[in-house]
Amino acid sequence: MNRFAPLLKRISDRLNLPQPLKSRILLEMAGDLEELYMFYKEKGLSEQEAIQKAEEKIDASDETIRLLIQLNDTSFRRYLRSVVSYFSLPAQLNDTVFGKYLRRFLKTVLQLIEYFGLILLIALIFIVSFRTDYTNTSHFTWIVLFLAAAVACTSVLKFYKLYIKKDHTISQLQSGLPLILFLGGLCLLTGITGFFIELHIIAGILSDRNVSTYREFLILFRKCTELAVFSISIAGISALLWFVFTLKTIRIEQLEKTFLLSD
Amino acid sequence: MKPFNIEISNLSKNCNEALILAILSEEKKHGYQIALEVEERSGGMFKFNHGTLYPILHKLEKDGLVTGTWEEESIKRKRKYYSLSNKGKEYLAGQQAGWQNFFRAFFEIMGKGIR
Repeated sequence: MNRFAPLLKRISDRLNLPQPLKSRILLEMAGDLEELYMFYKEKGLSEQEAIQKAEEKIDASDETIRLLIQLNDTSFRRYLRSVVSYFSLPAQLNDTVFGKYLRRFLKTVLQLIEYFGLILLIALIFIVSFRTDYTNTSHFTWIVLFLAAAVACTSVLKFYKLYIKKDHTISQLQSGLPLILFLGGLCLLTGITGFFIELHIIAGILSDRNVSTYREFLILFRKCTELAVFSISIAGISALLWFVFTLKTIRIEQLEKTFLLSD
Repeated sequence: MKPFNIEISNLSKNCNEALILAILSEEKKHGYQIALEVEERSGGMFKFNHGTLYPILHKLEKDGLVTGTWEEESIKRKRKYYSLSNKGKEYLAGQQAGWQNFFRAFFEIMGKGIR
């Protein structure tokens, strides 16, 4: 175990940053602590005195931690992390048998949700693409389809990296996740905007006619609604995929932290 | 190159930044080396606690004045080395001119006896 593990753990607990950033700061501090320790040892201090002097020199005060968080984080990232950490298992369960089985169960459930979400996303894209009555309704459908395909590609790539290739490079771990959320949001915005624009156009055309067009209006209105429903579904699936991917990356990051502090 | 304007209210911050940039102008160094060299070369006049050093280094890196690179010293040991970027070199030249002006004005008031 690292001789500075208790100090690094205390700093780690106070550094409210994503694990890759936190790992790098801890790694930087660990290197300097080791050099300081060697310096004081060479000066003739005992092991305990050298550790104490090195820790004093690092001086990880509240102000230092606050500045490091401020310099390395954004408020949006802090908000997203707080949302995800709300769903994490309590720390008291970490070492219990129940906690172990519960974690394994949740891991399987989350992986199934990920499979289900990806299959549903791809199925929706195919169904909508091959329904000409649907794609003919609005040009916005194509934009939503394009965005949905981008979400699907990013998610499949992320799934491949995390679950199949198991590429857990800590600096690359969160790459692509904000993009999934962004594209999902853009999809929702495009769908809802498209819905209202199409509705406005239809209402304009039908109000110019003299004959009763109530039934015709309902048919076109239903098609517009489908665009909105499709985009809301894509946004919902994107959010779900993002959430499960983020839980997975946090788990990997926590393992990385344990490794870093114990080495 | 325009001399940097040294503000009395930010004297400590400007001084710390200038010292770190000057130390890095010679070669890349990691945090421990920077702190040690500042202390040794100033005869103990300037001392950096690492708690003070990290936020300054991270800010300089964020501002693009220094570049941080990770180097593997051994299998289980990685160190972050900082080096001066081109933007940092320009900034340091401005700082040097600014500090010269600052001390010229300072000694003008304090008198020649202490020079």
